[in-house]
Amino acid sequence: MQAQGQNNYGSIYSLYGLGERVETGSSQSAMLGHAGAALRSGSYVGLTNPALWADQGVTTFSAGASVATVRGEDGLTDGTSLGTAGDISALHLGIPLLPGRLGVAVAYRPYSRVNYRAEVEDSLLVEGTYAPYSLNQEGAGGLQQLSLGVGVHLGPAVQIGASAEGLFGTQEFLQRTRFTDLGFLETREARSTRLRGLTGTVGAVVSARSLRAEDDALSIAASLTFPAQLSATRTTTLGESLDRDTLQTPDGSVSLDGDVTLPLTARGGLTYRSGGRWLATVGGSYEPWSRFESTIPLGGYDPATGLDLLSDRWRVGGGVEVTPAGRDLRASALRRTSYRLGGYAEHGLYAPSGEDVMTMALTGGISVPNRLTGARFDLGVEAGTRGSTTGVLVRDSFLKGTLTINFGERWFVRRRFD
Amino acid sequence: MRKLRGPRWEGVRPLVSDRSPVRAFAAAAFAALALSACQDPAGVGLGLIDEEQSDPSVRVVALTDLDTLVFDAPAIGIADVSNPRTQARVLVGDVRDAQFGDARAVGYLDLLQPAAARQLDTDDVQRVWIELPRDYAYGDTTTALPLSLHAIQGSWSADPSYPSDTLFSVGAALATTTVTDADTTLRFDLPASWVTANAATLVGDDFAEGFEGFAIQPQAGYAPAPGLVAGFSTLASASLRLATAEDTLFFALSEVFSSVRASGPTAPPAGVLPARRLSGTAIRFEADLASFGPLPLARGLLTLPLDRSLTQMGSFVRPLPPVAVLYGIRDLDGTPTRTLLGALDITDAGDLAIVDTRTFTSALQQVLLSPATASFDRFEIRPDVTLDSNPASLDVLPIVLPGAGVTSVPRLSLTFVGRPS
Repeated sequence: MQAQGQNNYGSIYSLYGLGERVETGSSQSAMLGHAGAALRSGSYVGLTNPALWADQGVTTFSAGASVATVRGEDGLTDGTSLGTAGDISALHLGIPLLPGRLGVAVAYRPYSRVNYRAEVEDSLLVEGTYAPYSLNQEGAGGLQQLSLGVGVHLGPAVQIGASAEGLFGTQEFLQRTRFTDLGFLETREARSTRLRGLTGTVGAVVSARSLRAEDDALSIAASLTFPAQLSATRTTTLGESLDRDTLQTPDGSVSLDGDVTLPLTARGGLTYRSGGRWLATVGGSYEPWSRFESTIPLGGYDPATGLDLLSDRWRVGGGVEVTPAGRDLRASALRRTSYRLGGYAEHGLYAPSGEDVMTMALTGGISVPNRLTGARFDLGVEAGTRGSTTGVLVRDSFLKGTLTINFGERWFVRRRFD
Repeated sequence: MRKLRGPRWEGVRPLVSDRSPVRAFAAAAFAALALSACQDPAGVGLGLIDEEQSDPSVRVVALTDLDTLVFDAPAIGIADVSNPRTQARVLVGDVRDAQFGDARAVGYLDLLQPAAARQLDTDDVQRVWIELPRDYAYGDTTTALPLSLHAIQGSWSADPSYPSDTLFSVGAALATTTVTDADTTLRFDLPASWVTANAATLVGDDFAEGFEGFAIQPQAGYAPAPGLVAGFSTLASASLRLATAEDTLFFALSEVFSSVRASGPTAPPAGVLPARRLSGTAIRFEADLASFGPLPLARGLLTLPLDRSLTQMGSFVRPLPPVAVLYGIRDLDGTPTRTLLGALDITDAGDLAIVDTRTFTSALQQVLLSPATASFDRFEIRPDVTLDSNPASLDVLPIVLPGAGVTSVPRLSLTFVGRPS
């Protein structure tokens, strides 16, 4: 038996649950170890905690794209896999209704990504003869998250926020099986699972100013995204293109309906900011995927057989940002550039064969100011490893580059002169 | 104040300025996406996908209710020149076969008049004879088979709706001959009296209406022991030959028919289905696919082992057919509907097996996906009546039945992707 695997950025691990979880806070937090729960900013809108949206001083829009390459290896084969993929990350629009006191935001971002491909070559004894075949598996899709919420300052030290989250998306699974003998037909079985549901997030930030210096501040924050019950509809087809037959379920219907319960997400963080020159932040998140429930089988989970390879996911991270010019807008662009370095450790939401999968990564990047007020180009990089070559596990070595534009300015200005 | 472009709304200025970085972002995003899908096919992950993949598996379905089926056999050995399925052989003879049944065959031939014949005078016709190459034998090949040639009386046509044992009226014997195993050609020399009496018809304008052809049959009083049914090729362009002083004209066959009267076996072979072509015998069986459910099917392979020892027993031969045809039968309101599922051929291993497994598999896949509308109540294997170049014969299909000591049984081998419950 031979195996050929193809990891795209989501890696082969994205076959589990609803896919590889995607953390999307802001391009700033991404470079600081994804520790964004307490990362207050007037330029960035941290999507992990709606309480942060109260800090908006200008209308902001951000959009990002990324390119990632993943190199995978395991202990079962001598080969390695290499995948490269691009992606559009979060889009958001933030509007300060009362600058610095009350802001709203709408954001569209991925919640999870399924993106893998693997191929197995084997043979089957048929009528006394071994028939070689190749079995190709591909996973694609994932859940998207549409958020709409508000953040408000209750006073100089406390701000809270809440958002409604719509989760929707489709998981596509395709298995192509092709025998070398042309007397066999190639089979293409595609399983498409549409999911949709609602949840909500609440958050709070408590800040203290002038602790050690006149312009320093310490912020402590927490947010909670409630468990979400998604309705799922699965159809399975055989064939390709227009020549597809929908496979009936055991009860004779053309689709299988079910419910999927996502676990809560709890986040917390701590940020210390010294003027405009530097800040340090730490944070973490926790999702009890061991309590994941689904009435239909998903990757690593099958209620009919009792298969459950999912595990609690947690992540801790932190980072440091330095801006040499601080808030001096007259300084050179080089001095007004922010330099960021961070890292994180994550325990994956899956445990194949009982083996924990850890991700360790360094993050970093720069944020280059634009001559337009409030606009910044953020160039980030993330490098790390996921998993190991123990047992059936795969060790991914990944390198990801991101480019994000954060555009902000006062959007609605009543002119004094025409 | 910077000058901004764009529409002016009352008291509001637009978001995008002429120095918008959106263009730069769009270019970067395009570059990112352009780099996607760069993939190295070598890789890993077998241990992880093992739990998710559907492995191929094989299930063997035993054929049930395997039996012969007598049907109203049409005259499959009949054809004319307008028929695209040219009938390539005519059968003549008489054989006693206790295991597969006795058979008596009479061959009928009609002729095409060549254009050059109309240029002749009656006096030009000197000799007429018939020549047909021998290409088939069923029975005892050491038999000296006495045959006679007769004129057909009354009109006939290549009507496939005739029963296969239809006989036409014939006159007295015009000529006789004896065919032995050493003969490669059947030849009847027509007597001078017949030539004189029919010369005007052979070269006249009313040949098509005035000449109905010849019948070739075993001579009266022939007692086969066990006898032979011989086959003669009708594809030769020259069947009747007419000689003049200077030349020889060739009359090709326009219509042929092999009338076969066959009876059932009196001592059928043990453990074998005694099915034979042209005797109105089909093979029927059932295969239960209902329990598998809508699984992807990579291949369906029908295999029917043959007892080849029955094809040659000393000098007695029973040829195997070059091809047979498989039908799926579905009874709709009591009316059987027949679906052609493909041709069956003899494999190198000596089994009868489906030839085009892809088409057959597609049909079975539909049965699995839509059993209510696509399933078959039974299957039938019949002599081929649809394929080209499948000459009339008494070929046998000695299909081995399941039984004690039988290792290779009639079966339907299904290769699924996934495991049926």
